[in-house]
Amino acid sequence: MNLGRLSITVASACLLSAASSFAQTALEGQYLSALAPKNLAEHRSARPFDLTGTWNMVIDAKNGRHEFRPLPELSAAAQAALDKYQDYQRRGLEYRDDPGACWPLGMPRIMTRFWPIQIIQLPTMVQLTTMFNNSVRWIYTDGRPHPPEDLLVDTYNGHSVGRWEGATLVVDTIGMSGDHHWIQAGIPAGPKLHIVERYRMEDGGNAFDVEFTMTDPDNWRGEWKNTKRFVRQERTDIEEHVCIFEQVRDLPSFKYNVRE
Amino acid sequence: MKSVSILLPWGLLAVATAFSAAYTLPVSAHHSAAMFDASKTVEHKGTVKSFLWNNPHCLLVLGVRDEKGEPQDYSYEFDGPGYLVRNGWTRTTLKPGDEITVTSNPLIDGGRGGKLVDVTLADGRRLSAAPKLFTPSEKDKAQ
Repeated sequence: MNLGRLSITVASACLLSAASSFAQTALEGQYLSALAPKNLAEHRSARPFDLTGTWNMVIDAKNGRHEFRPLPELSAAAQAALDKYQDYQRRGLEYRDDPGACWPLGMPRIMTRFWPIQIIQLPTMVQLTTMFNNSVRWIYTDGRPHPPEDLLVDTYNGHSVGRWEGATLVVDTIGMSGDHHWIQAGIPAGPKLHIVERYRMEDGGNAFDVEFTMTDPDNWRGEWKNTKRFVRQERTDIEEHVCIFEQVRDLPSFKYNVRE
Repeated sequence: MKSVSILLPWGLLAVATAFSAAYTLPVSAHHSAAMFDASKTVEHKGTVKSFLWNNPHCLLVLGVRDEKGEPQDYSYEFDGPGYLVRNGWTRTTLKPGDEITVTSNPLIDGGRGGKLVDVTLADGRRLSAAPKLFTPSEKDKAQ
């Protein structure tokens, strides 16, 4: 084989490889894309409200500020984890603060930060992008179910599908990783975590409430409920916001983060 | 009111002082503030060595002379630019070489650094690092 033929062969192999590498996701081919023109154009009932906008969670002591309070009855394992966390806190230390070392916050914690959340609502999907860590949630509202369990990939924000029930958007999220994932400081999130969020528009479209109902039989008994309010921000957009390990490890707090 | 020793600027004598926290700082949004003593504030004068204007945290490294006159680096972390601009900060508020005074919640174990509360610049301006929430005005609301 001369060099000319060899290079053509290599080029052809690369082209074939490129063609077959398009759209490789575990769910490839399972559903029409949320952004496929055919899916977007499908006739659907009018949506009762539009979440498109920039929003900030209201920090309210009554519902736990950035946390979910009151707490449910924790399992022995979760209570032990929380006790250990609080013991380190009393000693002026942080215990297993994984987001402080750039692990994703994941659901539900990603919803409760200081920074704004950008929401774009389409007929087929509601996309949330949090300014914190520029984390994205895709909530499919085109009628698809969750993927079959054997195709589900563990993620920190999970797999979310939404449906409209009257004036409420009901969002169901499963498939969340139990690795370095916390509901809030000291309380672990397990692989059985299931979150239902009920979104209702309030204040003439200037606020919405989300009622979180969380179950995780490994970590607490029954349903853990909490409602957070989000208010519209008309004069802000989200910005790039990434956690860079080589930067956070220079923060004075970092060496007090006990991670074992 | 507790008394804590403070470190004063290059070449100045150290004077002990303390005052109770002027601000109630919320727990940091990125991680907890357990390692900082929110009940105390301390002042350090020194020279800006570096200033990182960044999300999710800003980081200031200040060159300070300790009680023995030895140069030491103090590191201060604080919230990101989105909150600081509401208090008048910009990316050029602190430049290497600037002589400033820093108020901070110190590290509980006495380490060099803390959570920044405010800075006083050479021109006397005092800028807070306390997060301030933005409240949308009525005229911006959707009708």
